[in-house]
Amino acid sequence: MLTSGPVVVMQVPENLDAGEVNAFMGELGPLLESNRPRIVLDCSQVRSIDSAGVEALLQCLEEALKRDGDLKLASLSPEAEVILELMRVARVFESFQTSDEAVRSFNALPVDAVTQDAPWYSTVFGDLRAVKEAS
Amino acid sequence: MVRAVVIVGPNGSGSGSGELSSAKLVANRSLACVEMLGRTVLGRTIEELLRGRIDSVVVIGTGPFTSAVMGHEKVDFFSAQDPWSKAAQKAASFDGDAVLLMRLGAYVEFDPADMLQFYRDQDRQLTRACNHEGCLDLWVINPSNVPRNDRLFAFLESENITPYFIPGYVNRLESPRDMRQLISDGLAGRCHFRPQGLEIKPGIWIGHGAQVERTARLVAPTFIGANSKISDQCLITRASSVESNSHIDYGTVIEDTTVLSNTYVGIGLDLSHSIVEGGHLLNLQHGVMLRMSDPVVLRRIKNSKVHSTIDGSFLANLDVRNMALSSVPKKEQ
Repeated sequence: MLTSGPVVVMQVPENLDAGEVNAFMGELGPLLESNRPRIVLDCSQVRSIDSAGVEALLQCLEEALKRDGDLKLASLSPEAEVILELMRVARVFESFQTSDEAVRSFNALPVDAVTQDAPWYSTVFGDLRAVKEAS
Repeated sequence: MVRAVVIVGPNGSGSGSGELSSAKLVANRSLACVEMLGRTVLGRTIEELLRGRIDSVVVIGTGPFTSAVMGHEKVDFFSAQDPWSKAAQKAASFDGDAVLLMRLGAYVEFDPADMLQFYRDQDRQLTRACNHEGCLDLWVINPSNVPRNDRLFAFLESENITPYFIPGYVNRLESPRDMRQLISDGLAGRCHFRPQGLEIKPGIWIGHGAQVERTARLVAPTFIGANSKISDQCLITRASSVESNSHIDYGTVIEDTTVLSNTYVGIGLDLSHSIVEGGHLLNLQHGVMLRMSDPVVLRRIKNSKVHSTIDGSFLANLDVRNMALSSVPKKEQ
């Protein structure tokens, strides 16, 4: 397993099928339990994924999103790309040509850059309170 | 009396040396016997030969033949380890001034009577068909000139030939991409490779016993083979064909794809630019062959009554590294 700052890059096994899913989830599970997990799955070695494998990937994505993180795919082998398209999940995942690109995409917009306390419309309409006072 | 000898197998370049096992040749042999739009190229070729004033046809292959083309009184089938030697033996035994010899191979639309007339007018010992892309494995030869040893192919490849130009449709069927092209051309009416079934709407053909559920949608041109089933909410479009005894399950989209005989395609899938047979999927856009072990997604439907190919699975015999990828443009990065 490789780490690049807070983003974790993990290699997906060659055959992500019912036999491999438990081991894969066992390795990925602790990472998903952290706060705002940011995970890149390197799929360059993938030769086959079955429905159990796709289900596992979706489950991981769901867990990451629940904890305000994300899970991205990188270096998709042609086989992985065909399988994800076949099973209609290719569009669900954000995918990148390389792991580095995927890692950089996490850092492009630092999480702390967005003030969590400010109302969502504040950047668009400015401070409504100030407008009201001026009028 | 004019006869034809049809060889279903590799070209004879390896004849005698035993080098007949390259993946390309194996797949080439199989393609002629793969059901496309309801019928094999072999079956269609035999029919056209008999319609074109050929009195009888001898078919020689390296394996057992599909029952779909057997049983015709004017057609004899032989299985031989070296089909070229067997062809030489058969051709030499014929009487008459000409024998038409062809290897499948390519799907060629031609007029046998016209080619025979051309051969007789030229008064040469060997005529070979060609088109603008080069020579085809189709010859007319005098039976008395056929070499009685395993040199037949070398003799046919000699330069002392009279070329006969075929202006009609030719598909060399050298790769799965050619196969998809032939199906697409057949559905679009660009050749005489017509779907075998009832045209229920313009461009939509349904084979005997096929079942299409009420909410399934077929967009022309498309072909659904005999005894196939298309479940609810499916969409079949962009010159796709679902060959006989196959099942497309609920909500799946089939686009620019051929589903070969006896194949189950699972629920809610998106299948495009591919050829599928049993658990094998060849994606022509990505140039990838997959073997799906998950029967929920793809699987072979067991049907002991139907054998669509000469030697079982067509895609299972295909070495995609040697063959299909060479004809598939590399994906742009």
